Amino acid sequence: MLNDTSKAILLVEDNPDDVALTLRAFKKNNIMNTVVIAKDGTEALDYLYGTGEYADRDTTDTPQIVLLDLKLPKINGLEVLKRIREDERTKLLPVIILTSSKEQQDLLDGYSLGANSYIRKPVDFDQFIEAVRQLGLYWLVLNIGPTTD
Amino acid sequence: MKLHECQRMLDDLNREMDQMLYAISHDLRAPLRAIDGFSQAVVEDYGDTLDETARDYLDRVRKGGQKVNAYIDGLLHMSREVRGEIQPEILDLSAMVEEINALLAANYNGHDPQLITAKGISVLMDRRLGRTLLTKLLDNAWKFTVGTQASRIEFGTMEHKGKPTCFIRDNGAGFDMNHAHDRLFGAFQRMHPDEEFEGLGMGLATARRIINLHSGKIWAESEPGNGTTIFFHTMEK
Repeated sequence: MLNDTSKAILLVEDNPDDVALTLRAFKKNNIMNTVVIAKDGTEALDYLYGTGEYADRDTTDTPQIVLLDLKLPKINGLEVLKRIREDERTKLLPVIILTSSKEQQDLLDGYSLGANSYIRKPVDFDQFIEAVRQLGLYWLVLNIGPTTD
Repeated sequence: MKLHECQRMLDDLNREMDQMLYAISHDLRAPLRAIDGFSQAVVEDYGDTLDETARDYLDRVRKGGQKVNAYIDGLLHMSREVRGEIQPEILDLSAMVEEINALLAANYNGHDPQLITAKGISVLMDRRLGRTLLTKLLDNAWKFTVGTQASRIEFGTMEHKGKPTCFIRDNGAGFDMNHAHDRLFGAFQRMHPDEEFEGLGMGLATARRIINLHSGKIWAESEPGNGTTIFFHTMEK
């Protein structure tokens, strides 16, 4: 089984340290997909729907997965998820919540709004790398997404 | 102030505390992840150029960060575990003590203290919180009797100033009451160095919160080398 690396991973994360650590974890796990980084909810939606700075983007080229932090500036993570599920073009897109929070309410809200998975970012970097390895193996290799060609 | 005003103020305060704890859990973990992750990255990418002392320092940085993370977990756990309304019922503490001892025995492989549990002791208490209270107290008793000759853990009742009072007594490590003062039941208070007994120092803090919710009282007697006794009573039946 091979990972189709031509498809991008959309990483929605406002904290530059977490971005750097996540990219490092991808690299250590040989996850070679292009990673598009959105620093807030607005940027994420712009990327997905070809608005704002992504006005020229071909939006039929959807990412393979979205890794979504919850606490984001401007439009927060749950609102981003809600819009993704409401839009015909992205309603089946796999969205994995990747957050520090394990608050019961965030879990319930995330799943209610149609998140495919909820992963808590561990503080210990070894555990973080392991979490990203399993996430990549499952969502990029094992799992068959809604759009296959 | 009227009772319903007090209640509203209390609700507001509780909500505020919940929000603060939410902020702690989210906002403090991100920098901790950076501390841990980038120290690890330095070791991995530049380990060849570092001498042993430098690697030892980075190891200490990581351990420090992970410890702060464990403290956050402890604080959040206590606040989640002990909140909301209590639903007091008549609880058979003796039966519960025996159940919990059986669970702890499985965790403490090779440690086999003598267990003396008086039968038929019951109090008026919330079931879930009663279990948490006994678990914290018994876990301490098991932990601090590791390495004690002829170790013994006893659960019983006595009368104290006219009130029926439960106690959990061990003959383990104990501590100097002069060093304990008021801090024994505070958060993150340790009476022993990490090398001797591990722990966050949240057990008795949690126990006191539970007892306070039940309008009761909890206190301790201890002596180094002669063990510790924790006494408590809850609301009147």
